[in-house]
Amino acid sequence: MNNKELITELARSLDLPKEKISALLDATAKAMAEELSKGNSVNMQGFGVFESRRKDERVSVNPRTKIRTLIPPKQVVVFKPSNSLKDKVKQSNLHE
Amino acid sequence: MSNEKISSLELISAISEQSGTTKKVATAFMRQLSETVEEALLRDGIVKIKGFGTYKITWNESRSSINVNTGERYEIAGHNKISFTPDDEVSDIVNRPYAHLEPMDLDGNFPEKAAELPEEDPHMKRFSEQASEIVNLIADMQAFKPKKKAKPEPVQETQPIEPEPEIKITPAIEPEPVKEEEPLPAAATEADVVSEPVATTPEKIEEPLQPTPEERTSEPIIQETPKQKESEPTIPSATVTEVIAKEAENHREPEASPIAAEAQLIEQMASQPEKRSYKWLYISLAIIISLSGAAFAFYYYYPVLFPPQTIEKPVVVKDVVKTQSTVQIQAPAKSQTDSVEKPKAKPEHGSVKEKAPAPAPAPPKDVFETPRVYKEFITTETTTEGTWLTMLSLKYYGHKLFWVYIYEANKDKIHNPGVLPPGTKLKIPKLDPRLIDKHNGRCFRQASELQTLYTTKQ
Repeated sequence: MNNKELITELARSLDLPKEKISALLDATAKAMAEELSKGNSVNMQGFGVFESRRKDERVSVNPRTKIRTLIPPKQVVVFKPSNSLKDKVKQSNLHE
Repeated sequence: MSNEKISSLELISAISEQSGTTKKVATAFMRQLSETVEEALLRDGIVKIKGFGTYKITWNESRSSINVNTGERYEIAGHNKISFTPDDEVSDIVNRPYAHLEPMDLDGNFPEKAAELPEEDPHMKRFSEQASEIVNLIADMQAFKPKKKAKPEPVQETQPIEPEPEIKITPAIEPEPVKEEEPLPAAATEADVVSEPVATTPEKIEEPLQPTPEERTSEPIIQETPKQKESEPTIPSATVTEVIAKEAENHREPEASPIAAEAQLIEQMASQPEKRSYKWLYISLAIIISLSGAAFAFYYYYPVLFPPQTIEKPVVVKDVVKTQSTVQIQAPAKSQTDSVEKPKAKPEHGSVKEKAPAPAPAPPKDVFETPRVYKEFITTETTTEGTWLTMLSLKYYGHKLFWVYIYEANKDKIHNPGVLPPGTKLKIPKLDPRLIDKHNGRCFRQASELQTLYTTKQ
């Protein structure tokens, strides 16, 4: 499902115009990014938690050239699905 | 950095605020959003939300593992897993504090440092090689000198059909028998002498040209003398030398004597081209040296473009002076031309060399080592959301890494280089171009040192 389909689906189920949905979706993404950039974690009940994690700097070696490169630290977003979602996904038969 | 947990409620209020909707709608939307995403995910296995990220279900293959407590082996069954990849937009916002950092080539960094020295070493080597070559050349030339003087004699020895034992020792008598028996070989020897410099200095094409007119002018003189000698050949050949020797003795006192004059002439002819050839050698050597010096200067200064790397300069200068002085000792004539030509070829280099090698390294040191004072500013920038020091640096200095100088100039306003409150007025300092030269590794090292200093401090 892509963004367009998602908006259509939400608009249909919420009975709201697509523009509204689009605006809300943007606001959600922005608000989440804002909180995450502050280092906060965002909990979406029954769905999962978005967290901001620091990846430490590390030295990587290019196996071909043997050049060692210092990768700087970075802040990344991780998503931890809730247990219920995890279970649902686990039981889904998408594989095969 | 705070590490609060933001609940759905807080998020909803934030969303309703931003989008200008009621909380009710926002709450409904959030619930519907997670539901729809969940549904779609389970149905399609992938959900893309523009401006936020992508959810994807990935299959984890079954694998064996060991229970840490019991040490038992057990199988983890294959299962589906949700993976979430945030959009670049989001990850950029989140990664703001470290956005200015770039992967650093560790191995590349050291060679860069090391490359600076070896880079100069080859030049030094090249120069010292050249210097030693020059010294060798001069030594060869000096070794040549006696040989050359001796040369005309052996040549004459071999060329005359009936060589006489005395020839070797006394050059004054030596030419005479040659002339008596055959006036032509003398000219031949002269030609030999003249042609010799051509062999020694193949570079100079003019050389054979100049002596030849002299040869021509001298030839008539030689031809004159044979006329007088024509009367002499009547004397038996065995006594010829004695008579000539006597005659030579007699004629030597009055200098007008044609034979003595001729002998002198030949001697002059023998020595003059030699002198000239040496002169030419010196001049050509001087040109070679000055050219090599210029080439060296070009090689040496080309990657630098400006002096910061010239801390090792005094050494080089000394070396240059040394070789110059050695050359001067061995060839004063050459040094004159040297001094004349060198300033032309590379005036800046020459001036540094002659005037003062010591003050030269001082200014470049300053660029990196003196504390930077920001007095002149190019402009002021008002920050907006999404303004980055690195971007400003890229805009004004041409490289991201030089953001540190903007930070330094605005330390009072910037609390954390990773966080620029919108609306901050930043002064963009005018920097010494030597400090932000993209072709100079030193600039980058300096900036990255400062960068690590400022980023670890916070």
